[in-house]
Amino acid sequence: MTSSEPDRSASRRTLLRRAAVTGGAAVAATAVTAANAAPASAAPGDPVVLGALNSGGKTTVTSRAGNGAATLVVQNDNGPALLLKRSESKLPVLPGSLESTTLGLGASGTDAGGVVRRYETFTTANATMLVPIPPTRVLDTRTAAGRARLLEGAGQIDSQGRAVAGAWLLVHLDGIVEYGDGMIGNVTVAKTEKGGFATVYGRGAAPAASTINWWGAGQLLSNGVITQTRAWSTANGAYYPDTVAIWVQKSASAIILDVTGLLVFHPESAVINNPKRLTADSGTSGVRADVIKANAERGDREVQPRA
Amino acid sequence: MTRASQQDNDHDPKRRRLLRRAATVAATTAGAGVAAAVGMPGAAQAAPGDKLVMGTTNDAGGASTTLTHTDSPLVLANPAGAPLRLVPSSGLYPHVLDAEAGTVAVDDQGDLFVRAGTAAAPTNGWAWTTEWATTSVAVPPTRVLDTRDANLRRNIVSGSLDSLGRLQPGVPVVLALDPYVRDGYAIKGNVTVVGMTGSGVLTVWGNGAKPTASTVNWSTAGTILSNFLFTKLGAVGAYRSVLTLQATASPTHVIVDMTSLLVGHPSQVLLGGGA
Repeated sequence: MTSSEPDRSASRRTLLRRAAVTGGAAVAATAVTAANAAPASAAPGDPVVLGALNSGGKTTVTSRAGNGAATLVVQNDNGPALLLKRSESKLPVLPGSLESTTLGLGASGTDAGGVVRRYETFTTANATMLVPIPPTRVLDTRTAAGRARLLEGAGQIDSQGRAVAGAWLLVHLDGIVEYGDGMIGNVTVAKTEKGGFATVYGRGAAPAASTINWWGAGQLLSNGVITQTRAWSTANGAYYPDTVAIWVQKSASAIILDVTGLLVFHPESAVINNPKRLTADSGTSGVRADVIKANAERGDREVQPRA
Repeated sequence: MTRASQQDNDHDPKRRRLLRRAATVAATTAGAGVAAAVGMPGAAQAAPGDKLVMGTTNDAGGASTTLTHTDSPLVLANPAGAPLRLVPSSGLYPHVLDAEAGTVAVDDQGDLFVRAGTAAAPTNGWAWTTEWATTSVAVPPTRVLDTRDANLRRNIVSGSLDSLGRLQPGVPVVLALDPYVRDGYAIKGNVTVVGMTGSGVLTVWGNGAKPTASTVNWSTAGTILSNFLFTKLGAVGAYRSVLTLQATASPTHVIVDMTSLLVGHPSQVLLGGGA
């Protein structure tokens, strides 16, 4: 097996630097600190002064604005509209509170027992989700077409289309997922030579675990599989952000792998049958696609510029 | 047994509309003003340094307005609608990617951008919404199909079984899960085969043409085998959450036990476990 590990740190920095250079300093950002706000300041009881630091009091604004109107409308055509300064306060909160947190955005609500609780909002930077896809066969060692996605192990197939004992197979998932986190599906063994097992896995060294086991010759068995995916660079420099490894041990066996779902940070990573994919205009000028890819950068994964 | 229409419907748009209704309704009023417009904007204008005037448009130009207090500096209430509206902006990116942590904004696609992390390790993300996120909801193990039992064949809405109630090779059977979930995305559970006459294959998928894939494989008659199942749900006719099952090479009884549903919002789950 051959691997060249990409420099993930450098890639990520490059991406972020590019974004920074393009954007320059935030234009007319709503987000300013107290230090660079205008010197004028309002005290409790004073009116709120626009473009200034207003401190010392809790400001409550109420309205009965209906028909879709809001009590407070905040707009900034040149940047973000709202900055929530992070607080280390652990004081009790009231329902409806929004807070900036290290993970993202905290929200408070009332649970079924009437207790006010803080919740963390899931975002594309802190969580993954399952996206089902039509069952898709990505490996069938019994046929040449079924081996088309093999990046490693093509030379470890015997005349009966079986992976030999000890074979290490690596399957790419191009056209199915881009910068995902894992996959879920089904692995099948057929024409087994004798008792053995196979391990399906993603990142890291081969684990001491098994995905499917068999105990004799001529067996046909299936098992569900959920596994991480990993990035891979081939010896000739081709880069695949999403691959899955299968290690066949003790016995030759035909191996079949079908994918039925993907674990992703954003459903746009599930590119199979998805017209709105990461490489298209995902978000303004594709910026969101780059960020989603950067968030998916884990372990050995390099973020590639969008196509 | 009711036969489903053979026409396949596009599954997603109706779901999206449904979920949009369930999601927080975005305000549609055209509010203007970098700083704030309280209620419906009026004709009066305020400039930087001016006082914020209630019920009007207040433009702070290139400056920011900061409210500080040790406890909830700003409280907004509106019993008739939304307390806060962040006007979607097409000018967010890429500047916002380097904004201060705590920055939140609605982009031109209606997603809520969140800048978080720490100064050393900042993160950019978009809050999950029912528009595009999925969530797994565990349910009590529920047998939704057992072809050996006439009562547990009640969810079959299309296709025919053999005289013993088994799937016939090459004949797809459609199973509707609409009693359990509204516009579900996928099912997790366990599928079991029994009563086969020889080696064969069972494929389970949503709807449409049978894919080149398998869910359970067996090599001989007289075995009982089970496998984990994760399958995208499809739509057929009026049924919005269906599975299609087809045996190849051998007839077989099939049992499907559901343990979890993948949905856009837990309220779509109609049996125990859903919110």
